[in-house]
Amino acid sequence: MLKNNDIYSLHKMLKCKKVSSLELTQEALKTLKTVEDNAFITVTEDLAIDEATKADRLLAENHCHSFLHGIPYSLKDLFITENIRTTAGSKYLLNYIPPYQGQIAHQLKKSHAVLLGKVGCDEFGMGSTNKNTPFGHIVNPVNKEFSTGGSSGGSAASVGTGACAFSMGTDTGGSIRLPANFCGLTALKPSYGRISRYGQIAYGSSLDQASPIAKTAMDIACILEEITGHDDRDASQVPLKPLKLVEELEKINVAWLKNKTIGIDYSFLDQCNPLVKKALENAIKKMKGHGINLKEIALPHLQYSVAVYYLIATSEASANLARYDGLHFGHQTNFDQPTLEQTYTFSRSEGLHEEVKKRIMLGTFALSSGFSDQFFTKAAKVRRLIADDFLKAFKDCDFIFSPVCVSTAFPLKSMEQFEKDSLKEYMNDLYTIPVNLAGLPALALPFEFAENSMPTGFQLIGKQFRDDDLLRMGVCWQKLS
Amino acid sequence: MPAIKVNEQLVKHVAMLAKLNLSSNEVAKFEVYMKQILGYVESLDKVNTADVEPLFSPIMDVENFYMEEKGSEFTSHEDVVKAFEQTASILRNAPKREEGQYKIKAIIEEQ
Repeated sequence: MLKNNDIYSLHKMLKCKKVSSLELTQEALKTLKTVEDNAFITVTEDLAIDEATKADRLLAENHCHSFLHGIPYSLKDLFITENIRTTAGSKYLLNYIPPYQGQIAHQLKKSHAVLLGKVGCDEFGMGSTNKNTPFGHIVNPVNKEFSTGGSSGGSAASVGTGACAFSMGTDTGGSIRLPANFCGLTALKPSYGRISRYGQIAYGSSLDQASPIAKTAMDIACILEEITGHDDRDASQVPLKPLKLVEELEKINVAWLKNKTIGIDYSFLDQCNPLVKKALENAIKKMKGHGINLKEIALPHLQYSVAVYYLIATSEASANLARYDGLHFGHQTNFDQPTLEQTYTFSRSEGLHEEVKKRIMLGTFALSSGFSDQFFTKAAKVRRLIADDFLKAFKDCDFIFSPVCVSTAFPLKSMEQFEKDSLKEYMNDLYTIPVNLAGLPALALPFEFAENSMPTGFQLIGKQFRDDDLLRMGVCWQKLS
Repeated sequence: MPAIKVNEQLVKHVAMLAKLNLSSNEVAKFEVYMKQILGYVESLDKVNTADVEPLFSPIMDVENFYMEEKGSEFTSHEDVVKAFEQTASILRNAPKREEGQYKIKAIIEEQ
């Protein structure tokens, strides 16, 4: 039931009592136990049964609180959940039980969605492969010999296998869009400032954004109805009203997209491998066939995105991860160290994995005395030019079409190449990173299967805070398919 | 930007600043890593940023959007610290605690 139905259809079935939340939840629990994809770090079985029973009781009284009412979901383990272990995919937080509820968990609980558990990711969201975690690889729901991509790999796997109907992941440089693209799912990286980050474990604070993943753009709209809205506990959130779009999208006519213009920088296509390039060309052809206007645009500074991102994100990470000191929560070294300083260093060094240490090192260097102007500030200036490229391009178009990644999902046996060469792994983020640097929304949409039988897709980038237009576009596009 | 000489000494210095204790294997690995990434970011030298203001937070278009949606001028809200009463649940996560407080190594030795 969960594998083949989206939230919107499940909601209708729940409302007319064709299925109960408990039945969906039991099916989900059975699936997650049998698929052996390593997606879940913590399963909250008893809680899920309780929440599903409560959701059913309310439905029996004809109280349906949202489109997510009674729908099973998973949370990336970067979201703080009160009294439920939250690891961030790190050994450092292996036994951390948060004393408070994060905003995403709070809002989803209020909507009466059913939490199944916490899913794995690259440690602290740092990676695009899911190999950077002591909890082990998560495998692709389409083919177990491939990676889900990262960092929100557990979110993508849990939706792809039908272990839940949707998941909340995060996106700092492509962490929701890459797994969606590799697993044939739909995901939105919302505008920076759209969704509260209260209770989202921080990686790069000027880039991080909570991001939903599901099967369709309509599903994403159902989720956004519940997780948007003002929260004064996140100073970076823009106080906007909740994005209530589903009612409008139910009635939207595909003619809506006919007078829309999509900008394309065709040089992006040439950098993709032949499988991806072919799919992108087919998508463009289909757009033209449906009367969408296409316009060539240039985004000349985007070629510097990887360099800019890995200075800014690591600098912010080095500051954010300074809180892991071995004293307040999380791992503390077992050695009886003679000094406080050594307690810090040994606890951090034992608890954090290699990729996280690398990024802390790079960021510490980029912010260190004598180098910060040369590296961090320089990167922030080029970041401005990247954002300005988008502003200029959006004068001539409504959306921008772009690849998500130059390749389809990585075969698990090819992971060694990234172990040896970090830059090679980082270059996978070339097309996703610019969106985070500029704070824009982007919708990753699945397209056709490539010749290697793995999913392909593309992303549409929207104007800042025009997440609603992206969803209109996504829903119309998926109606055409 | 002048080329940075990444060597073992620099890696150890940065590790000290980052409060990390690296094994000799990690020092060697991170030296290669930092050389590679810092070499790659030299490409930013080619970009003329003489009159460019750095962008630290990417909220750019909010004033216009806010006016359109709300009909009022955008003002960012203050980050106000609020009291959190459940100290016991915070301390529950402390690796070492004593009498309702964090227990850490002595910083100042008794005379």
